[in-house]
Amino acid sequence: MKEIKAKIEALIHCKALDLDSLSKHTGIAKKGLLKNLINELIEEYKLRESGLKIINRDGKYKISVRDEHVDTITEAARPEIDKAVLETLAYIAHKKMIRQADVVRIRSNKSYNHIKELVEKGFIESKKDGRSKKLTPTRKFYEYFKLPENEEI
Amino acid sequence: MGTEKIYSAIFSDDDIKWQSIIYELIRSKKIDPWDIDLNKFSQEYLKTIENLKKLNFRISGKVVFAAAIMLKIKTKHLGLDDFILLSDEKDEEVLEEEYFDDEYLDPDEEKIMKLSKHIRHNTKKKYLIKPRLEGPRKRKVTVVELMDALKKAIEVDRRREKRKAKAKIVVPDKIYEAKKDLLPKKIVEIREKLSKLFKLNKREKIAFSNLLNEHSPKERVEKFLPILHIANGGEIHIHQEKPFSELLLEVLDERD
Repeated sequence: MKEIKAKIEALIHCKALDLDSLSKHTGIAKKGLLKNLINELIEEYKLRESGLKIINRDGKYKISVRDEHVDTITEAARPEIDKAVLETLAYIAHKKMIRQADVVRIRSNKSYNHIKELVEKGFIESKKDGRSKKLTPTRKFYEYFKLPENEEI
Repeated sequence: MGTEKIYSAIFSDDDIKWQSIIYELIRSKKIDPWDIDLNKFSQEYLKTIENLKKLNFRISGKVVFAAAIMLKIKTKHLGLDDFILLSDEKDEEVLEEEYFDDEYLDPDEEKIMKLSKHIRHNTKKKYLIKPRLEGPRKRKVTVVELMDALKKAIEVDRRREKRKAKAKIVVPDKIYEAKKDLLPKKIVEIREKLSKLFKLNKREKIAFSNLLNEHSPKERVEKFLPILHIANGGEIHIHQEKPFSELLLEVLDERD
């Protein structure tokens, strides 16, 4: 069991993986067992007051830096969202609901790619609105930044 | 295009098979079959193509793809498998083996299969290297960074609006304005001239060219503009028999 746990730890250190992928890479078919081992790992990280933690985002497990240490690593690690993409996200969140055409008008053509990336990452939702699309921040956005859902930013 | 289709495109018959070029290069000892230098392989291939004096892009594409497969085989067997371990795509090597295990293998392809196996074996033994250290990991974005990003985005927005507002202010054309002021005076002048000419012409139609002195385009415009104003006021009637022909002016007030 120790060895499997170590394998899981190594895998989720590399990439966010769901139980199916973990099962494939470890060769353990019993997903219940995998889940128990992950829970044990989570507890171990908590007990030894590690600078890391195991998070479960949309069913995918990943080793992440504990929130209180994020400021410490700001210089050393690159942010998950690039600067320009983050500006686009901030602008959409600030407006709460905005047409894609307006975002593109203000943030240039490059924002088409930003929007695509943000939708894929689940930070914004895109709904058809006539010839354009309406963009709104998702619950994941508020959870990620620990902001109340109706918070004005 | 599916992988199977790509493979079938590579291995389909051509006048000159890409495999035959490799065999020829091996036979002429230009490349070592046990350690193919892909750079040299591509260069030698290009030379061969030049010698053939026949540029067949279909074969070129196939050779490039074949080189890519060999590069992948080499990469994997240089101990770099770890980097592709977590790839979601189906393992290319598995696909490749699936193809080579296929019942449609012809003798040439069988030789290639053996060759690729040797490449794997030799490169792994000869050049086994450790995977390089992992690059810096990505971290979570903080709210402070989000706020900074927003500040910047709003700044950009404001700058854009300012620029737009600036562009909207139309600076009046001073020359045009000055000329516009002169227009009423010009209208009076032309009206008087028309009246005189009309009397002299015994109430007949007057040609527009009679009003001109220099006949320059500038003068034509200067005099045509007041004419339009006068005609718009219902004092004269402008008539033209054919397009681009002489403009004929008829004074209506005098007749009435």
